[in-house]
Amino acid sequence: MKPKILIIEDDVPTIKLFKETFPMAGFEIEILDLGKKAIAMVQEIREGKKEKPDLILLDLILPDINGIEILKEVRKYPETKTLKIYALTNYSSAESNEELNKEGIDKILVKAQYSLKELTEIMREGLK
Amino acid sequence: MNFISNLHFLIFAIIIISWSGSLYFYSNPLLLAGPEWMKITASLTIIVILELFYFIVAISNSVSPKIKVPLIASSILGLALIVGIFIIEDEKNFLTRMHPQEAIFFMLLFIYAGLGTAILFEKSLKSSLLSHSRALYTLVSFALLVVAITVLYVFLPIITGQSEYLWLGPVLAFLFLVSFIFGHSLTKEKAKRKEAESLAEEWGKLASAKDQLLLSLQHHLRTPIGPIKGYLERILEGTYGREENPVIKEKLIEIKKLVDNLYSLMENLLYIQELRVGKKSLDLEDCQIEALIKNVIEELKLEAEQKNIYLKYELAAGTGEKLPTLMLNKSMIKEAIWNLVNNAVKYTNRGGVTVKLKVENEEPQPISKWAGPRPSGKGRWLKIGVTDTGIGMEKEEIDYFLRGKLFERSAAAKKLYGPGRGIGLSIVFEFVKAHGGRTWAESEGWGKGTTFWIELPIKGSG
Repeated sequence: MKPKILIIEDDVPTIKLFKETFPMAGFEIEILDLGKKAIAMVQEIREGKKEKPDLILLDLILPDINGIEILKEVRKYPETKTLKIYALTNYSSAESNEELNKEGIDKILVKAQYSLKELTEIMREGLK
Repeated sequence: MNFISNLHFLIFAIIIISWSGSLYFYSNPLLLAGPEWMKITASLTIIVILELFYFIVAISNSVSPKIKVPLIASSILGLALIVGIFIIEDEKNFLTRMHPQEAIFFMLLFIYAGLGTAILFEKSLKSSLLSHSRALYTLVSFALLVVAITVLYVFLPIITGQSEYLWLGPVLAFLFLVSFIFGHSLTKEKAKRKEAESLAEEWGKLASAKDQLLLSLQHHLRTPIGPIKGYLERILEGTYGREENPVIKEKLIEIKKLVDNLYSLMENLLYIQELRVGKKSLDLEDCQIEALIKNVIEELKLEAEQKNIYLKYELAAGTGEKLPTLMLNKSMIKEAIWNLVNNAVKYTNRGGVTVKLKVENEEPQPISKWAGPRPSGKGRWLKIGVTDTGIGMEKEEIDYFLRGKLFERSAAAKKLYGPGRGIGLSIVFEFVKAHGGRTWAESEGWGKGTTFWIELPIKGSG
């Protein structure tokens, strides 16, 4: 079974690139480009209407809300509490990292810092 | 303006003291008829009010600068005229009984006090920061002085028929002066403090705006770089098909290198910013400096070869084989050395570049005022020198470079090499500083090459 990755990302070129790369690397992906959609998805997962993803890649700067809100929402309910979430963002500051860690993020990755190969490697490692 | 108002104040002080002193030494008892004093007081009051009004109008911004001087001059003339009329019209007038120097001092006092008060008053109208209290203070002091002088030299002699209280004049003038100086310095200090506070507040706002800007820049600049790097990676991997044309492949590799450079440049700038704001701490690790230098030379060798210049490493004689292992942030120090060597290669067209390494045990002579003091204590220092035979630097340029204007490139470099990045040195300087070290440059002058030095403290036994 292919691991399921939920990607919350709004940058179109990045989305395109991920759509090309991740399925080829053996992941099944679903991409949401709005924070609201992600919140709705969390609810569906909670209600059992939707399957749990194996990993969530979370961008922080979204058009409608901050990614941290999504993280909080996921961690709030017992059904979704244990989902694995990596912050994959281009925004990193000491404050936001601190807040992410406080809310229980699993990993913080700076997007531009990794090559696609490295990124898929990190994801595979995390899914083991 | 400050100088002028201080000058005005000094003249004012001299006049008050001389005038009241002269009254004390020269005045005769003033014996006037009953209603005479009313007339005199009324005239004096009118003069003062008129003059004040005149001065305020004259110096206010509603009047064009061209007629300000004539206005002030005519107001002084007007005062002289009034005094003159008094002297001519009424022989028994108060003023005719004054000694001439008293009359002149009296006039000057009003002119200066009036003008000074008017200036302060005008200023207080314009500035919310400075002088409401100061202008009020001056106005009240001036009014008190006028009242005191009138009482002392007009009312008391008239009522008592004696001049035995005249010695109070200089005392009053002195007290007035003291209180004026006190008020002056007090309000000045207050104004300064207020100004400093508002500047600090302004600075804080600007600094946080800059931080905000940099953070948002960070996100916006990184966002497109991610896919650019990603696509290049996939193209070069052959994901979209094998690229047969070797020239295209070569250019793609070149582009990838440039994007990587751009990315690391941006990251370094952000890193500097975070170091400056104290948001970042160094991640130190054991570091073999010699290996690091050789690594940098390896990376830049090709560029030097293409320019037909040498690029070599030299361990200073006597340093021995026991080079210390330092606790450093490897990537930062490598970046610093890389930048210096890269610059040296870029600005050298003949000869070449030598990277030197040495250890200094004792506190050597201070290099120059701009290098700043070494962090406290004697100790061992690791010095990395990058010497080129390039365009060299003038002393002023070295000074300029180290006075903190690091983003400015030297005039000669601009002339010879056109626009380019002036960021490299800033990165070197900040990264070395973060390790408790120093960066400085030495050059014999234009055309004679430059040596840039990095000095790092060796902690522990080494």
